Amino acid sequence: MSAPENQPPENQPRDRRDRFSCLPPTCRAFLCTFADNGTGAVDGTHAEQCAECAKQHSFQTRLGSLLSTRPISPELLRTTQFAEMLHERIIEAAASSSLGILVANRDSAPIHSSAWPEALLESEVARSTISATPQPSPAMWAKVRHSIMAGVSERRQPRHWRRLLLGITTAAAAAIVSGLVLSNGTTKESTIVFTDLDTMPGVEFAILRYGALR
Amino acid sequence: MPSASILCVIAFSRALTAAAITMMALATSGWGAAQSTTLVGKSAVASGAGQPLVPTLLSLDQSLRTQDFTAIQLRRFRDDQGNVVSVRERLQVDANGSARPGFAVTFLQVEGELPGSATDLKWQQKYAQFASLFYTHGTFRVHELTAAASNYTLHDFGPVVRANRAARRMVVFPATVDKAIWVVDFDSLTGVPLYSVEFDSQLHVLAEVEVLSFTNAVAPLVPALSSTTQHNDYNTAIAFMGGPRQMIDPIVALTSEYQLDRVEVRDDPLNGRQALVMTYTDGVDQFVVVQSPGTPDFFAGLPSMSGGGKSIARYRDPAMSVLLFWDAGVSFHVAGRGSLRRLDDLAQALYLQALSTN
Repeated sequence: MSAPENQPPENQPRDRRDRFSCLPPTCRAFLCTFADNGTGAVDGTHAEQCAECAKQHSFQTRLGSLLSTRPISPELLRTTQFAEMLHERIIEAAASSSLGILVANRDSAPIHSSAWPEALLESEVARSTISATPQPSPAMWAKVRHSIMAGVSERRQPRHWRRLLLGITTAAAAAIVSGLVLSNGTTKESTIVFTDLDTMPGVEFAILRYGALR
Repeated sequence: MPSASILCVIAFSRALTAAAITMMALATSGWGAAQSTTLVGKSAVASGAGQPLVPTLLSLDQSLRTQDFTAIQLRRFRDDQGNVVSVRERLQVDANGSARPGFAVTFLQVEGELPGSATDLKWQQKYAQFASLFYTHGTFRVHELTAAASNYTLHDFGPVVRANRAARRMVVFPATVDKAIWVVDFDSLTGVPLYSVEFDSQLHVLAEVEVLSFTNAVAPLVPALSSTTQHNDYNTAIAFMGGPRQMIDPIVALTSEYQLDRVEVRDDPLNGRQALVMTYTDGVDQFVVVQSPGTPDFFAGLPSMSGGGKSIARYRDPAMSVLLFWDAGVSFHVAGRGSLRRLDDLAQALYLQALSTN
């Protein structure tokens, strides 16, 4: 994949496109020239006049060739022994991780037996499973149906009365609350606080208790 | 209904408290210049005619209505620092068959002070203005017999000698814990209290009166000019005051065992302002509700009163509770014993009554 600055403007990232569109036309033309030509010759006149474009051209000249070729990996990394050693290290790391410990310590799953154990087959559970239950008679079903329908009709009536009572109660509560809110009270609730005095007030009872004002 | 065991515990605790009070009274009876008391031996002194050996509330009530006497007594006042001032006074009582006999309280001297000293003159002025309060509110009396019988019990602690007279020591125990406990030495001959001390529930002494000399006779009393007029009920008193508005007939349901004892109109000699004083009693204890019309708001300008706030000023110590509030030109105050905390609720209720009335 080529460097972003070597891509056509429509393929460049948006920020680069925004910056590119803000450049003067001469700069855009200059940048497109060596984008197309790679490290080839460009218009030197504009490079002499525009410092920014000259810097871009200098970067392109020095780094372009390096970025265009893929570096060769070292010989050691391409050996089979290295790959195996890497593989073992990965396995060791996984074994020492929490998942590896969990997998190593799990109980062994019971062996699935293809046949039922004999004791279970001879138990009451097995006998009741394999034997068919008797079906109730039609008369029985009729009675059951009748009792169910009767219960449903009974619940329907109290539910109706409950709804009516709830509606009346709600209306009464709303009337009371609205009456309290809209009415002008005849008395105003007063909050009275006590203020403690440090000195004895000049009242006759103080004369009585202490004879004279302190 | 409390179980028998609980009643036994209550009775035992009362007896224990009464015994503790008696021991304290014995320990403190030699205070100041008072004469010491001695317990009479096994043989009881014969009581006077008409007086039972062990006083009852009925006999005490009868004594108040029928017995004339003159007593020199010490009245001790205590402050919160524990300082005691003993004032010697002369009490003359001219019984008239009612629960409100004629009386006169005369200042004699302050114990330990020279006559004419600043302290002596100060107390003389106080007695000149408020002496009647000391007898009507500051002495142990059975104000209302039926209420006293319902709210108090008497416990006999045997014969004593007081003011060189045979007496009987009794503890007057209240039915509720928010009232004072009294230890009183009643004269065996006349039933007049010769010594009384008032304790709170923590057994702190609140008031004390000790008779030094006693005679069961009285010289004719000269009616003194009084700034207090008594009335039968609230409406009569209001009419006497000229029908000032914004005053209330207090509803004292919160203190149900208290009943209206007296209604008085007092004139302040300093500013000529009148005050309606209504005294309520449970038979022994008292509290007052005082209404003074035409007074300025003493709470005006306080931050708590901004925005229409209502406030009750409260002062409380072990001896006294005073609650003050103001509404529509009338100042109110409720005053009583310090332990009677129900007065807070009563003051609040009266304030709300005043607000709803005005």
